[in-house]
Amino acid sequence: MKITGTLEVKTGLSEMLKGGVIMDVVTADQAKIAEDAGATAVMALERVPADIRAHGGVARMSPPELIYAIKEAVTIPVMAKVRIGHFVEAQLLESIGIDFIDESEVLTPADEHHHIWKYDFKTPFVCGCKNLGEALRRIGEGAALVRTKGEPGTGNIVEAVRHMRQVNREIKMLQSLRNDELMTVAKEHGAPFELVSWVAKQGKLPVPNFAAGGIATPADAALMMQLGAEAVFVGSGIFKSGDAARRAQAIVKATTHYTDAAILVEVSRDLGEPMVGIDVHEIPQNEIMADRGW
Amino acid sequence: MIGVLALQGGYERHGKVLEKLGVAYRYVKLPHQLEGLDGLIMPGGESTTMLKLANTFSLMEPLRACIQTGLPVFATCAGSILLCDTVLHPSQQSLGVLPATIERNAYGSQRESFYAEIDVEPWGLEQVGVYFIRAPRFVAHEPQVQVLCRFNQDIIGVQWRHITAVTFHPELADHTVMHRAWLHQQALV
Repeated sequence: MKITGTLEVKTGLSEMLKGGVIMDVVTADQAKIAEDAGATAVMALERVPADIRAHGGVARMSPPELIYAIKEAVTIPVMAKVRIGHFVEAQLLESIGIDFIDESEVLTPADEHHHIWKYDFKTPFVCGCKNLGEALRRIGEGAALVRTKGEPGTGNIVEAVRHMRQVNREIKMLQSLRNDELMTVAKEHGAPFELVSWVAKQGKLPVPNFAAGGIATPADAALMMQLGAEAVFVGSGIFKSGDAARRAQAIVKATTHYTDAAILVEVSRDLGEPMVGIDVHEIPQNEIMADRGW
Repeated sequence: MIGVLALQGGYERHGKVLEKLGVAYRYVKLPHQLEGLDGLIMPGGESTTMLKLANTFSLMEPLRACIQTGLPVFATCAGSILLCDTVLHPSQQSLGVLPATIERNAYGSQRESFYAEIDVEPWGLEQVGVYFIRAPRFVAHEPQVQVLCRFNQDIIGVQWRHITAVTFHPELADHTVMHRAWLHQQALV
């Protein structure tokens, strides 16, 4: 008998994406370039985060025709984003047969109080987090994968580093606590007690944790891997750079050989211009994407 | 010493199973790490990504040579795609060391991925819980290739000489029976 849609079946795909690079693409041609470069999956988008940031307005789920065109173009898994709390956009993506749904702060939130109840779906979800409490709330709602939020569309790794270190530091702190201290910590984190307790015992999250938000170079990808990310998402960093195919390949190689400095040097040579970065301290507070979601 | 191909994908979970069984292993990302191995596990993940990396880092020929000269291999999912001499849906390059035809993504998108309990009769295993994640299936094989297991009518596991290939993931389930059976069958423990 086939059993579909369980959390274990969903996290199974997260496990298979480990050690790889998931790339944002806005056309079928870009999807093909990403696949040829060795991407483990593509994220189908109407605009990359850097353009969403530049153009402003309400950013929504990509139209079905774009997602179908990208699905047709590649054999690797295809992901797509929905607005935080927009469970009907998620129903559309599930019906299309998308492989992974990103409930993403890159799009304009549809609900400022609730995230999607992800157990209602057979399709796995990935959600962003800045800290352990946020990761465990999303996992409590049924997320099969979490990722750092970073600060999307900036080409600046500083926020992704902050979020990855924060989650890992908080996991280590939990491990040092007595059982009678865990309830208090669960309250402080605003996270389900059972999950806090599980993490304290196991010393890791119950689902894989990837890096996202600001990765622009092979060294950025390797930095996140060495800090404990199990794979990386690259958004604007590839198709906003001078030579997308070459940079995409380089980031794939760097993610596999993330501890081998000699290989990292080799793949970092002659890549052309990286995307132009943004200092996150210069972004107005109300335009910080990482602050979307709760 | 068992090698676990670690270009991308589910290699850590295979490593964890070997740890539980008390078997020494190392990850293989570069050709020199193939030297001195007694067996090799080829994990799941994205076969296109692994192919790209294996080509770039000159692993294809050394891998093919090791396997052709008798290195016992246990491949799961994408690992099996790399072994088969013919790959369909769509066709792609492979090591071509297993005389069988495999169809990628045979069940559809992730929505159709599933858990099931299977029997591996030649190894005396019953009701082993395993995961099929965007899984392939074997659609043809030379007569000398032995079918290890089926799910409904689909061939999901085969063996030919020292090569064992399955389309599912035993390493994602909380047991070690499949890996232990392989190690015994190949006299690696």
